[in-house]
Order: sequence, then structure tokens, then C-alpha cells
Amino acid sequence: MPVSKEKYSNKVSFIKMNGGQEQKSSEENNAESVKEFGTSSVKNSRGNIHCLTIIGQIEGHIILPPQNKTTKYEHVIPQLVAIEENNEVDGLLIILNTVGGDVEAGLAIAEMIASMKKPTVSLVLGGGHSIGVPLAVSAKYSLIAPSATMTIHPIRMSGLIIGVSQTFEYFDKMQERVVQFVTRNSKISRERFRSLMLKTGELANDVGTVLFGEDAVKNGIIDQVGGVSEALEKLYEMIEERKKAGEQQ
Amino acid sequence: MIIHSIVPYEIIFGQQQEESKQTKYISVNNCLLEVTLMEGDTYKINRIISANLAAYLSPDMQPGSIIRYR
Repeated sequence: MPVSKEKYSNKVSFIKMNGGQEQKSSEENNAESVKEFGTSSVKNSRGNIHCLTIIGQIEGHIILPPQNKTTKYEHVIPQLVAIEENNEVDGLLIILNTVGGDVEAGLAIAEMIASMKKPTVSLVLGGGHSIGVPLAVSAKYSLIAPSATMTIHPIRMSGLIIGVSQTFEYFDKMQERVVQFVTRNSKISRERFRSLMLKTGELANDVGTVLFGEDAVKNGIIDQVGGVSEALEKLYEMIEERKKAGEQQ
Repeated sequence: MIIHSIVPYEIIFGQQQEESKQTKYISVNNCLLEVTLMEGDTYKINRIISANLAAYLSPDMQPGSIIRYR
């Protein structure tokens, strides 16, 4: 039933979770957006930064049960387009603490970030596992906290599997998409990444490797070990460089 | 769908129960929202369906926020 915009605009009001006060300062609103949705915008004289947090499972084509904390790709993708297009946003800071998730959704978000023109910096805190690895390397510059870990392991199978060699080939192909993306967007070689992925003796009941912050940098997956101050400093540097390049043209 | 995660499938999909969610679609500021009824006239936004990019950056319309609608 088509309804006019006017009819609805009187009936809808946005209310905040802690309710009560109608008028809120922009600072309070900002704090609320962090609390409720994990997004935040930072504005200062050096540039406006949009902070995107990718947490929990990357949710793809199937809605995951409510016990999972998820990052929904149908929201993140248009958000990335908006960030790229919005003149008020100068740079994007991506904070990662993810256990992995849907391959297609993870790669979609990673490709979107990798193809952005605006400066992007990623920071891995806690963990950036499985499909979190392509997400971490998708930014132009990546950082990892010393205590954060990244688990590199092959895609697993579940459900009915037909015991033919084509099944293996299919999974190897799916695996290859992740390998290619990571090697294209970081300094690690294809051979090294695959050897880490297929290593035995590191994970219980599985093949793969757990990399600590420092190891991820040594292997060339991540650019630098650091925290939020280093990440912001790098992002401001990139914003300033971009502004200078824009002025020269 | 292929899940690439360190969390086992049983934990991701465990105790899956059909939630009796009352999902509705409402139009706010010319933008379609999928919402779930919370109580009375308050709804929680599940997702935004819009071609207007600014809607995705609007702090009022992020998934998870609560709106009052009659």
C-alpha cells in the first residue's frame, strides 16, 4: 500500500535507548552511537574520520542465530559506498575483532575496502581470524596489537560431501580466492601463505597457524605492530598527503 | 554458503530456534526500514532498505536503534 511520506513523518520519532532527555549534545549522541552500534565519527582540524568496527561473525546470506554477534554485510557495503562518496569523511579507520564468517560476505567487504580511494587504516585487536585476514589486509595500511592473534587455516566442509576428487578441487578453488586476495593486498608470498595455512601441529584437530601480532608483521601480512594512537597518526598522515596531492593538481 | 571461521559449526548454528519475530516494514524519511516490534509502539530497526546512501550513515537509523511509530 503506497503511503505518502508526509503522512508518516508526523508519526515517527527516534528515541534513544536511555530515553528521557530530548535534546542531547553531539558528544552524547556520538557516545550513544558507539554504545549501540559500534560506529563513530571523529571530527577535528586534521580531518574527519569514520570508524567502522567489524566484530564477531561476518554474516552473509543466512541470518545467524541470535547467540552470535554479527557484522551484517548488507549494511556495511552501502555504508562503505556512503563513506567513499561523502565529502565530510576524509578517512576510514577499521577496527577488527572477528572470528571469521561467510567467505562471500567477507571477501565482498574486503574488496570494497581495497578499492576505496579514501585513506583506510585497519587495526586488529583481539583477533582477526579466518576470513578476518583478508579484511585486515584490505586497508591501505594495517596494524595489529601485540596481543592480537590471526588464525590462518583452510576452509572447512560441513554437511553432505560427495567423496570424489572434484570436491577437493572445488574447495581448493574457494580457498584460492582468499589466498589470492591476501597475497594481492599484503607483502606475503603465495607459497608462504599456503604453507602457513596447511601447517600441522599448531592447532588442535586442525591444520593451520596461529600468528601473534609480531609474527603477522614478520610474515608480511600486517604492516606494523601498534595500537589506536599509531593507527590514528598513520591515518591523519595519509589524509594530509591526499589533501596536498589534491591541492597540487 | 561457506563459513570460514574458527568457531565450530555446532556453536554458530547451535540451539537454533524459530523466533516469533514480528517483522514489519515501515517507511521513515522516504526510506524503508525493516523493524521488529518491541513493546507497544516501539520498534527496533533490523535493517535499512534504501538507495539513499546518506541513510546508511545516519546515526538515528543504524540497525539496533529504537524508534517510536504509530
